[in-house]
Amino acid sequence: MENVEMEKFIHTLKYGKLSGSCKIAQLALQVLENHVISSMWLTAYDLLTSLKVVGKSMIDAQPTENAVGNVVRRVLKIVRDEYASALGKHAEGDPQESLQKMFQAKGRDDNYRKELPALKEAIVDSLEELKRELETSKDNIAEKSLEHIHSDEVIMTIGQSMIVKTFLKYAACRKRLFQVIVVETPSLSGHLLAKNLAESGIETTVITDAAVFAIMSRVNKVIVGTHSIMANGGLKAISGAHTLALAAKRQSVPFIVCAPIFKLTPQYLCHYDQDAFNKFGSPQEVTGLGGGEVFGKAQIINPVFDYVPPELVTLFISNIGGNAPSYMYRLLSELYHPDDYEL
Amino acid sequence: MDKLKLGGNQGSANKKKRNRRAKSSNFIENDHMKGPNFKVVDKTSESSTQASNMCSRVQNEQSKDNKLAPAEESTINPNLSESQYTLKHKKRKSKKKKSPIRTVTDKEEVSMLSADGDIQLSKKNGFGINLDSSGQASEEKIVVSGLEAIKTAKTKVYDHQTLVKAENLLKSTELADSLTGTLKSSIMSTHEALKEESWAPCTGAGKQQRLDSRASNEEGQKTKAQLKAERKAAFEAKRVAEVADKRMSDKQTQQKSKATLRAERRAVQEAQRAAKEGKHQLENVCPVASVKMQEVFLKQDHKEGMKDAEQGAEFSVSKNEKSAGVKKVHKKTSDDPRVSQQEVRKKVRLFRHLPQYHHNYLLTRNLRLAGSDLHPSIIGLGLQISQGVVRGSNARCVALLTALKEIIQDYITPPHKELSRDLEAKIRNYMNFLNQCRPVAVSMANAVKHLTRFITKMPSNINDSEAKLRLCEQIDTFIKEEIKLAKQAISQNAGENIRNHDVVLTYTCSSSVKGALCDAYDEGKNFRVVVVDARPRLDGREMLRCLVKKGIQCSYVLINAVPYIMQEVTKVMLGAHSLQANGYVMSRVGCSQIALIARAYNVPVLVCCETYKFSEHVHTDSIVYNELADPNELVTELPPNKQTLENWQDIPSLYLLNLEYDLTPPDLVAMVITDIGNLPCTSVPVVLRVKHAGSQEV
Repeated sequence: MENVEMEKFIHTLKYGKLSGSCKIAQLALQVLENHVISSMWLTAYDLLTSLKVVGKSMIDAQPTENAVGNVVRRVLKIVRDEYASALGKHAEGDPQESLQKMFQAKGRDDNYRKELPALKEAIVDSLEELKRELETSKDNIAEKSLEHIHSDEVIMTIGQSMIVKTFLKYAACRKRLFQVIVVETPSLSGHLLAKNLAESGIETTVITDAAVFAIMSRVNKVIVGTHSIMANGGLKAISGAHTLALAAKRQSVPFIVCAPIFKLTPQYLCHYDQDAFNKFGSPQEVTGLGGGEVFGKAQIINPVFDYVPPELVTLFISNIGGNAPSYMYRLLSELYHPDDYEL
Repeated sequence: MDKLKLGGNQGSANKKKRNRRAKSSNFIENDHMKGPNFKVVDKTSESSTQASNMCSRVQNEQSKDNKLAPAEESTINPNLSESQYTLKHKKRKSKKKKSPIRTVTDKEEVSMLSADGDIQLSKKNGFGINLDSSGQASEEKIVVSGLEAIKTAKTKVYDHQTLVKAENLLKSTELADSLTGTLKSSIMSTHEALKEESWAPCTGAGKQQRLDSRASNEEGQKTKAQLKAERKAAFEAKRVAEVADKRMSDKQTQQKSKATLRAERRAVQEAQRAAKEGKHQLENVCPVASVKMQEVFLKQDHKEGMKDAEQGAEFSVSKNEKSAGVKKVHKKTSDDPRVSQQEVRKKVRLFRHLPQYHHNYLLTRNLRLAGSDLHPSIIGLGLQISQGVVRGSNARCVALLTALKEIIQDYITPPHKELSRDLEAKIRNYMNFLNQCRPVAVSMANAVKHLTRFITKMPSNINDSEAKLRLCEQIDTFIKEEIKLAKQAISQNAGENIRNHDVVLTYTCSSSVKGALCDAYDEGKNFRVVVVDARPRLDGREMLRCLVKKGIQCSYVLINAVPYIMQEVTKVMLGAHSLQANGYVMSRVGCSQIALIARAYNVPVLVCCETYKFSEHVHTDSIVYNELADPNELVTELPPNKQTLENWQDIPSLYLLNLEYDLTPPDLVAMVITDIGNLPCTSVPVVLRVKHAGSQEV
């Protein structure tokens, strides 16, 4: 039964039928939770091993979808924590042990092979908590909008991000008056966002991708969503975000990223790792139909993502608070166990 | 052959004429009773394609017929001439099918640049030509062919004008302000032709001769005998018309006919609305088509070349405008002020200080051709520029200079006036009009400044012809030295900067960059080009087409993917609209951010710009001084699953912004490649000063 569900999820993931990493994360968590509940395991070690196998198959289905891997890591971390607390150790212990501590330590004893009857229940409870966190992360972030948007502000955003949409609408519902400038992007997802915002009464202007820098001098804040946050605080975001970030940096406009914390990935990838990092869309999105005799002889490139280096990002707003990119390494070690960085 | 009869070439088809003669007496009445002139056209026009092609075809014929006329007149054998004629038309037809859009500029001297790709013919705005490809609803066909009929009428009225009879004729129709009226006059003119044929006391050869001249819309020089015959014919036509009117008024009162006309008009509007629902673009197409008609028309009258005839013709234009489709179009736009008001309201707040381009706004709406002293070539140019047929600052400048040259050639100093003063004032007036069509490019302004400086310095003691000759020479030198040779120099300079194994990134379609790349390739250099493009215009495709055709290895990306591609790029080459005195580069929107990304990746940015585009303006951002293009461009021509904002005007707080230019700060530009060498951006004021000093000496 579990396998059927997983296969279905993998299938939809593989064919790109799912959109919105929040949804994907929730579905992945559901698969993992089912695995924890229904599969046969005695020790935490068994569970960790089988979870890794399940997780790996889901990650391999769509390697660019970092949310899946992140959720797997979160679940693994929960298992480890619950095991530790069941043993009576302090669960919130520092996983990234200090150098001194590592020096003094007599080697790790936690091999997760002890059978603990109460472990399953504790893990399932924690997973429920994680599920709630995923569900409410969007609203948690949106609630912070009033702290960041002042009246009569001009905000620029790119494409269509669900989180940015709720973020802006939350502020607008609370009588904050501001303008939004939406960059349309070649897939024209910006049009969808613009329509949605305008219909809820926010003054919205759609601009082309080419006009980003021209308009940037009148923008107060750039607020964007992202696909994932890299371990160094860089972004893997929609293609065009790098330009936006560069323009914002040049004009000293704050570049704010709204992202739930499950988007934080322990990968360190950037520009020169395009093969591992990026994904390419259909050239038809660039060329449209027709013109074959010309386009047939040229190389058409349609990258999906852009890498935004951390120095261009001013602030991350996540469901656990606001952070500078330089702090991401710390969050990383709190959220994931170092042994799970590589699955 | 059949198709050609429609476009004011009835005379060319003898057979048809004879057929018509057979039922000549009832012809007017019958058709008039049917009301809509469209019917007639339906008979003659087989498909919308023909009707729409006609716009360009007629124009072309007009221009060519001038040259053809003498040859045709001299032929005596009627069969021979007809076959010749057919042959020519066939040739033209096949030409047209290949590139219907190109024909719009075919005849203009501007087209000399089109080979260089300077003139980017708009794919979207191609006037009537849009129709044939889209194969749209039949309503459109009706409208277009209706306008066609009007135009036919107009050309015919010209003929009367040369006879100084048109006015009477128009009055005699008593329906001068309706489509039907003009239809009638068109019918009458056919009539006239028939009458002429039967009444004129000439030999068969003479008849043929005249027929041929008819075929060429009687633009060739006419003999006195012909004139006499025609006058007679016109008189006859008038009489027939009067008779027809009487008969008509017997059957129905004037009011009644007006009522039917109103109904007709409503029917057309209804049809248009229906068509609009079916096809989004259609609304635009109709006025555009009519603009085209006007343009074609104006060209015709311009090509007549004769001063007197021209004045008369202009008069007849205004007369006809009152009477015919133009007024209808006016009414369509003017009785819809909501649209324009909404568009004004729909202006982005930051840009309220800039004029908004209106796609539906008819530039010639308030133009009184009779009273105004606008030269037709300027009106034609204005329309072409506003519709995007002539695009790119070099192309616009050359087109302007060509038009000015025509104006100067036609210019006669009014009595008690001085050429230098009067001509300058006139040119200022023209520039005002062009500014309304689309804000004048820096290149155009500079060229005109150069010219007016020359005009004001013209000594007052030389006569008109001498002055005109000098001015034309001056214009020619300007085009040659400042634009063409400069372009060559730039492509040479830029070509030197391209080395083997370079990857050159370029943005949209700049003629100078294209020239440079092609030159470098011809020199045998081995390099790759990345063509960056941006919505909504997608001009880069034209660039890509040229480069690929040449055999250069190309990549094509949209502007959002520039950071991705920039890693492999070794040089960025951009064109420019203008260089400002503070070193800022004004160019197509998007250039600045490409320069910004290039700076982030440490790639040098080279800007190609002719020195005549250097300007004394100083701006520091892209908002104060810019141009707003049609916002609808962002939402039209999208695939059906992406038409989210199709009705964006209905959402009150939604705005679309379609900017034309932006400013690149000088620190992002490594070098400016000009015709006088490679300079830093900051050298602009130096060049300007030197140039200014040079012109003072001259």
